[in-house]
Amino acid sequence: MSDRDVLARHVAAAIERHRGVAAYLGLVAEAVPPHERGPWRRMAEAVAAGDVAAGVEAARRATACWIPLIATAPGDHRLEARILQAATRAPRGGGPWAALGLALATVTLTSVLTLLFTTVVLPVFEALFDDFGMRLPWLTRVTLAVGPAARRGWPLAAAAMVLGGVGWWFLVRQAPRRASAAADFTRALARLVAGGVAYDDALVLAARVADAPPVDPADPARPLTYAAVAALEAPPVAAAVLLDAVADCHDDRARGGSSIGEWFVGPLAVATIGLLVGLAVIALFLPLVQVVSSLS
Amino acid sequence: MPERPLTTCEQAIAEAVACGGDATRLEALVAEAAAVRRDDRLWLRQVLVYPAAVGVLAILGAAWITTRDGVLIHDVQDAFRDPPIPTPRAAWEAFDGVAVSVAVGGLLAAIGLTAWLLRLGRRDARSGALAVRCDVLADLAAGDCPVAVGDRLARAIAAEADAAAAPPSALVAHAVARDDVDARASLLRSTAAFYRGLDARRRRALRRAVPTAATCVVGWVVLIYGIALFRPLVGLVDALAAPRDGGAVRGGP
Repeated sequence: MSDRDVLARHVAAAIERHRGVAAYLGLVAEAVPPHERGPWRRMAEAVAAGDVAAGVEAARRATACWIPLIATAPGDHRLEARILQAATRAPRGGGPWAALGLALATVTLTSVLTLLFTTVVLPVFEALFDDFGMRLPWLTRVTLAVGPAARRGWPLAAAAMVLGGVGWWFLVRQAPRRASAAADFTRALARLVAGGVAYDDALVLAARVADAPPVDPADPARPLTYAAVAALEAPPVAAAVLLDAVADCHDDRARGGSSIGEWFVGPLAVATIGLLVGLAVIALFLPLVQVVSSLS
Repeated sequence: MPERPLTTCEQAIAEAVACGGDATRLEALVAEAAAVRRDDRLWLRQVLVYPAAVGVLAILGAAWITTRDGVLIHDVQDAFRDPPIPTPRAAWEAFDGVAVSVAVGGLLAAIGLTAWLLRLGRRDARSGALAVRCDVLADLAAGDCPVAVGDRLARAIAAEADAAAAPPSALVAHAVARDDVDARASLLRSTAAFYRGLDARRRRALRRAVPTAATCVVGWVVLIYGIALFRPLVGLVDALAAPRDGGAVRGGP
């Protein structure tokens, strides 16, 4: 049975079990931030209409939203609380453009600024220094050499930037090794195991939640960790508790990782760009000072 | 010494305690919400003070250079003429297309960034207050307080966290409508956790976006300062280079 068949079977059962919760899903859709409403609205509509095909399509795009329905027995009063818990986390898989957005913005901004600098600013200074026929400092010669090099090699630079953007997209979108992906995977696995879903099916569904390729407990690879595999050897109730604890650990690591990114990468980028801009300013300013000094 | 009159929130807490609420817990909820607000304001001040200082200095520097150095350099250019006679001077400094484009682009980008940040800040802005309201309702539901009274008191207490907490929330109304007291209290606590999570996400997003946006705006202002610094100097050197090509310039190199 393929992964899609597993998903379809569980979504059909969930719609059958929880038709009455459609109105509440609509309320949740209205309560979450506007850009996250889509998956919840599609889910509410599919459940209200009992439309399994629409439900499978909605679950394929945002499996995490469906985990509470799949993992909760009919009549269990904790269903609404679980839906709210799922809605508190931003859903993964906002489409390929979501991950590409930052890379595209960075590449575009860098390209525009480089283009402006090399085609507008540098030629003005180049012509000015040529008029005086003066001997330029080495820093200025290096800076001025960037202009012709950039003008000659812009197709190569553009290709490199596009490749960089695609690489960034691949890292953000495809890498299932990150702590946040492992946390989402393990948390979903815990919910599904607690809800009595068979382990094989739970692994398939949890992999979809984390946007990861299928995992094999015999040969664990992220987002499935050895700790999660060890937890799965316990009875379902104990396994769910252990998996929740493992997910908490991954969540902590993910938070630590983002903190390092915030305090280290940002200032490092600002310092590097500031250094480059400072060097360019000094390189272009030095000859002007020389000219004015010799004129006066 | 005359007694201080009770605030609306304190009165509501007193009523809630009479209705079966836990005074310590209710006061802790209000204090926690106030601490979060204080923390946010302090953080915003800390994160904006450096970019604001650099931005103001850059704007002042650009204005000074544009108004003062333009005149000085014009005089220097006149001094190099043969004979050195003053030339007519425009009442206002004329800017070329590049400078105007950079300034207009920067202004538009700053407006866009500010609008985006305001939208981000206003999104789910009621979540913190709604979380307090749900927690108060859950507390009162556990104490068998009538629903209507509990709702009034919860609104009054949550208003301390945010004056705009009054608008109804369909999720809260759904939870309050539960007949079973335990189920109502449990769903209200889950709803409070949901709103608290939304609030935490909004604050996290703002804490990532505000420093970046401020750095971009200040970077653009410093760029304008740099252009203002270079423009007159380039103009001077350009003007001096022209007669040099045609022949000797008295006092020139």
